[in-house]
Amino acid sequence: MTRWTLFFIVMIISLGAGLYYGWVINPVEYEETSLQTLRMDYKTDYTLMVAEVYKENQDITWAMNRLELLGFSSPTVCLENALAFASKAGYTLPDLYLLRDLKNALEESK
Amino acid sequence: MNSDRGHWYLITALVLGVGLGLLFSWVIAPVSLEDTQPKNLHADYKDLYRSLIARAYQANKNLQRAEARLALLGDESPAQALAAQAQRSLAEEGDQEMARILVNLSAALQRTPSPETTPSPPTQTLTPETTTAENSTPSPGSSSQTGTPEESDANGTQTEIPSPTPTATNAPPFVKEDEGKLCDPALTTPLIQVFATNADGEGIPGVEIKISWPPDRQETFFTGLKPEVDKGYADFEADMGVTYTIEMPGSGLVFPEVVIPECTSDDGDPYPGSYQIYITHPN
Repeated sequence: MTRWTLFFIVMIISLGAGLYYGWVINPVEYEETSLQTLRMDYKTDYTLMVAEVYKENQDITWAMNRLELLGFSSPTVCLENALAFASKAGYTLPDLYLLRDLKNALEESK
Repeated sequence: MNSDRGHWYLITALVLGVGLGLLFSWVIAPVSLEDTQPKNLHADYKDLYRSLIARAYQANKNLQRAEARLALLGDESPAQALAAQAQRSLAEEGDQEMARILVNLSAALQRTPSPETTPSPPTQTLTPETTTAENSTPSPGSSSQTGTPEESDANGTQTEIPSPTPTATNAPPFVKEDEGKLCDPALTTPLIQVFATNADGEGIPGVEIKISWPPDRQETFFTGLKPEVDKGYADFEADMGVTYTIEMPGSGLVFPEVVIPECTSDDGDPYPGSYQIYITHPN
């Protein structure tokens, strides 16, 4: 094996190690982010909180204002995404019902 | 390459490879600005998220769920963060109802002994997310996984955990224990200090206190916003020469003439003192 070959082999391996470190072990952490960039599971939990509060205060305008902060094209789309994720993630029925009730209320308010 | 150069070329390749890898993964193509966590939110959004957690707690009275959600924000002390936000809200003459809701959750957290282990989100993930602790999904809906603070019945639905938390507005019938002037040169600001305790002498957080003064000013503050002093402690920055009326709504307890005293230091210099009120719940 020539020195050049060995040089490139070591460089490729260490390049891979560098990428693994930078993407997996110690990736860039963003600070000062907004609600729109939250991961979907956090967005779903946020939506569930809105649904929990809505059940209590029945204030659909308040709920819509809070959901719009998540950056979906509409609060209804937000609820659809949250319901899909919650079903997939195994949320319990009472929580799914809360999300569904809020979605129904949003559709009725249109 | 000349064989006399030894193995330096391998070290060069190593440094070059790692350097390029880091340059690419941190600068050229870092992980996307998506899929962030609540702890990375801007402070304003954290406040909003915290408010929503407190509102949700007000609605569902599920303290463990609220604790798990607060843990996602990465605050060193969630109870203090809530109290501080309530203070900011009151100081900015913001939504008093929101401040009360924040205080209620802060008080509930302070009443609950801290778990020995770090609170986990309400459930562990069922999603194909990565498995590091930070990346565990906060899906509070599922409760069948181990480590969840909520019980499941046979159908997999949640069993609501009864909340042990009375709200601030349902204040118990406090009685006056003591009141008096305080001359302490260490206190640089004249304060009206209120200490609320139960029959065992433990501080009670979340007690609402109304203060009014001429001509028609009125403010509300709560015990528990400065847990570093005491869970049942509250204070109000007062002015000399003003007569204040302190009231504990719901318990009918009124202190009609609270005045900041003028004290004298050892050197004979006058300085404003403070006023202390001790109330207790006799049951």
